[in-house]
Amino acid sequence: MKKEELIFDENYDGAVTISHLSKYYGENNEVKALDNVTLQLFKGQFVVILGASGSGKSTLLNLLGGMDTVTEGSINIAGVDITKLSEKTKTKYRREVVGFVFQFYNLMPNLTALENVELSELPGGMKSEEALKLVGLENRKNNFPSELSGGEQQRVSIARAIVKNPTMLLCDEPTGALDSKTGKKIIKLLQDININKDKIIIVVTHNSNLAKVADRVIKISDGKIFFDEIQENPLSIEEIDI
Amino acid sequence: MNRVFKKLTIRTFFSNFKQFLSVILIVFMASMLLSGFITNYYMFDNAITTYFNKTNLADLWFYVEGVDENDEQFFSNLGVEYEKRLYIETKAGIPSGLASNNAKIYIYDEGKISNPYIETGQWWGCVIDKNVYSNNNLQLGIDEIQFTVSYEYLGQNFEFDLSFVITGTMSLDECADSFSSWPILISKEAFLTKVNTAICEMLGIDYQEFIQELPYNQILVKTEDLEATVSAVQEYYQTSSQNELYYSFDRTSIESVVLLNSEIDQSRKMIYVFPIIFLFVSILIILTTINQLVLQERQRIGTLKSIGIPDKKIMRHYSKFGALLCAIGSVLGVIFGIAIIPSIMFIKYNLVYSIPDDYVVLTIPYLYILLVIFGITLLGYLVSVCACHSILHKKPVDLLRFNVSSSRIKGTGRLKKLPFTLKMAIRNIRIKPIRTIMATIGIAGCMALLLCGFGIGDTLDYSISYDFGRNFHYDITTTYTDDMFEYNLYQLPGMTYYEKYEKMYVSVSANNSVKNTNLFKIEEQSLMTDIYVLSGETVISKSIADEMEISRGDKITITLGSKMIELEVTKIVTTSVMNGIFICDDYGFDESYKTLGMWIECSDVTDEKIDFINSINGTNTGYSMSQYIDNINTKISSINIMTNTLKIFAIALAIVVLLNLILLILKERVREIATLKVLGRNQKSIMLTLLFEILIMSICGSIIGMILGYPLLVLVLSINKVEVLNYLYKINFISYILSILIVGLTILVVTLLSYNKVKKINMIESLKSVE
Repeated sequence: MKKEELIFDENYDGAVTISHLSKYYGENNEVKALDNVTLQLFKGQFVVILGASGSGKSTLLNLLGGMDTVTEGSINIAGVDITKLSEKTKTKYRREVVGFVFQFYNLMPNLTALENVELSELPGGMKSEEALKLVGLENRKNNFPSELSGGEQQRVSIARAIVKNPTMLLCDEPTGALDSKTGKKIIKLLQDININKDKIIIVVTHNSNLAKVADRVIKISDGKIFFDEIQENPLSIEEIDI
Repeated sequence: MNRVFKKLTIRTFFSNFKQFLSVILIVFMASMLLSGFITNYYMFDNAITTYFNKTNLADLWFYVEGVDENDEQFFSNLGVEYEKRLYIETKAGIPSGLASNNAKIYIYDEGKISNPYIETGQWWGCVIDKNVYSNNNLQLGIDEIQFTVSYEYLGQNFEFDLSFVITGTMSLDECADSFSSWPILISKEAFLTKVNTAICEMLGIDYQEFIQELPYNQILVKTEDLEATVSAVQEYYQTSSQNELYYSFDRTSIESVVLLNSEIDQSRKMIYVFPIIFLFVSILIILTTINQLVLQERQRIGTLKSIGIPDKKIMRHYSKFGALLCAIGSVLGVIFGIAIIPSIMFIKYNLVYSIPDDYVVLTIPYLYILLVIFGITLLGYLVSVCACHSILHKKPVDLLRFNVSSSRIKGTGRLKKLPFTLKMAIRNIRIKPIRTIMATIGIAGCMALLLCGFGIGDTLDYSISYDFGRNFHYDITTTYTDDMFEYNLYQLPGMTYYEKYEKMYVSVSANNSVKNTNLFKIEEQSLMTDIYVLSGETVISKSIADEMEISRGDKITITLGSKMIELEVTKIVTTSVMNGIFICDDYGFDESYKTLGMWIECSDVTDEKIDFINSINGTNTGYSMSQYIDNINTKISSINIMTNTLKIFAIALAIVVLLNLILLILKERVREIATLKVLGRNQKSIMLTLLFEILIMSICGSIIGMILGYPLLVLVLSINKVEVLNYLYKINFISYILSILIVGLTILVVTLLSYNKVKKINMIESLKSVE
């Protein structure tokens, strides 16, 4: 049997195609966390997915990140349906293709900031020190998470996510645990990271103000997309309150 | 509020059940051993005390030339309870084919003192030991016991074969250790009828006219004042009696009684060794588990404190888990301990000793058992209080903050160049010192117990082989009574050489201490032993020298009967089984005290050759070296049981400790593992982090265990001393290798078991929230 490998199409245009994606829970699939979602995401987009608690936005993010199995549908990236990948290849996918930023940072408490970033460093790619410099924490690289503020921890988390130069940056409520000022800095940082428009940045949030800075806004309710709009002139982060 | 706390207790209990299970298991093992050994001690002590009381075991045994009316009058006037009997040492067999064996034949008159416990059949006739009966599939009323006796009548010596149909089976306390000889009891009437008929036939006398009384040679006495009675009897025989007193014994000289008493002593000492080790490990596991629980719940504790719940209330809530787990574990342990351990121990006791089944009654020492349950539960509570103490003294605001202290991971800069897996493992160890100590001590305990288990076997083998491979080189040993034996021995095929020796049971005094031991008179510059003795020299075993604080050049006094000599110790030698004093000069001890023996060098020792020696007139019992070693191994079989028990419990301990450790690691690090999975770290690298952490602790624990193994071996064996063997402590290199392999294998198995747990960690669920 041929060993399954994650090989993307050479002519990949950076798009992610989600087709009829569903995720049901319960013995009889009675809970529909995500119900027949179809959409396409493009390289360079800063996407904000809005929705109330339990709407299905985090489920979508988890499925995109290869952290969960789908009930139906597909997620196609560069000719590869990641829903069909084995666990081992999904692990490789998470390691090389997507970067995660969590609400509660999820840093390794017993590793320094630099070492936390080094966890995601890929051979021949960006250096961890460089990633930390990008997030402005080059001076705190030897500090442990317990010695950093919440905002600093989230910046380490972002550095950890971008050091691998991911195709998609998946952010689950990245400002949820932060004050307004720090939250703005984090969003600004995410925007700056995508200055070359070479990634898809997806931010899941229930904060509707954040949608004003996005290139594209998707709204979800009861597992279905009921709003999907490209914003031609998004506001800058300084112009909004979060 | 109490209702809410009750609900919280139940929910916490079930959500942490797997973790708590390891506490229950280790407490279960500790209390099982503790209650089991306590019950076993009480049952065994009770059985043996009842045995001695019901059979009215004698306090003194007097071996005499004969018993006449004056002697009986003397004992009657002495105001002690006494009984006379005839004792014969000979060989007995079953005509239907069973090979002859050494037999101790007791011919009883009334059976008032040291009377047997009749298991089946009837007292009148011929009664044999119940183990001999069942081991040889004999049948009452059908099979016969046959033996040869020498009998003196009117100055003429008669020798004839007698056979008696087996009429019953018995347990005889003074011969309860039926290793090498069969105890046979024959009633006076049955014996006299057979003997007198045989003599009458030989002499052609009419049986009706023939009156022959038994030639009694033993007087058994029940007395409370042993010393006064012995002195009075000795004085009487020296001054007034027509008969001679050969020697007197008290209970400390009857091997069976000594072995049974030392077995009681061992069963008591068993209570202190292993249960204590397991209790100690239990304390560590409770401490770690409860400490882990409160650390895990520190934010909840912070919340409870911040809403005004008193510290005492919170402490009681968490401490009761320790008490609850200990109560469950100890109640289960006590039930299984009482049901299992005495049963196992009594299988062994019944293999080695003849103990009446009726006297083996389940004796539960309720007070002690309740104390075990209460004590362990209280211990669990107190240990839990200690585990909660530090965290409950923190301010609510501190408890609600992020949970990792960076103080212990600071200064680990030197680890920078190490791989992640190793770096994380080392830092995790530093962050959790209590857990690290628990795991290290647990592994150390397991390694030490394993080494101790293997070491006991090594020590026994080494001790026995030291004497019967190094100190002594003979192929066959036998004791004999007839000078013709030496002449007949020349017919033994393959015999190349032999040496005679004499053995006497003497009293040695030196440095204000007195000890009874064997005195061996061997040939000068004997070729059969490396214990080289020259004329004028006195060699003493190291164990006796150590016990009596005797050094080279010291004077010792040896007393036997009325003879007393003073000798200077010229050499001290290491011996294990053949302990005693070795001389080669004749100091004129009375012949009647001597046991004559022969060491024989013979090619190709076979059972036929041993049977040949045993068939020679005048021999007592001949053994090949291997039979002799087997005999000793049987006598110390209780220690072998201990060895296997130790190994099993050591592995059980390792499994419980490691499982507890793995569960703790997985529980506290589920979020980290989930994050590593999200970051694309593969299962192998995550498992390596866990494995490194466990390996580091295991290596440290194993090294400590290897250091502690030898002292533990010495401790365990020193409180389990046996009369037949002086331990020469040793742990072979291969035992170290085997112990390391077993610990390593256990670590591997437990780690592999955790592989699936890591695989099943759900990234989404684990990373949902801080809680």
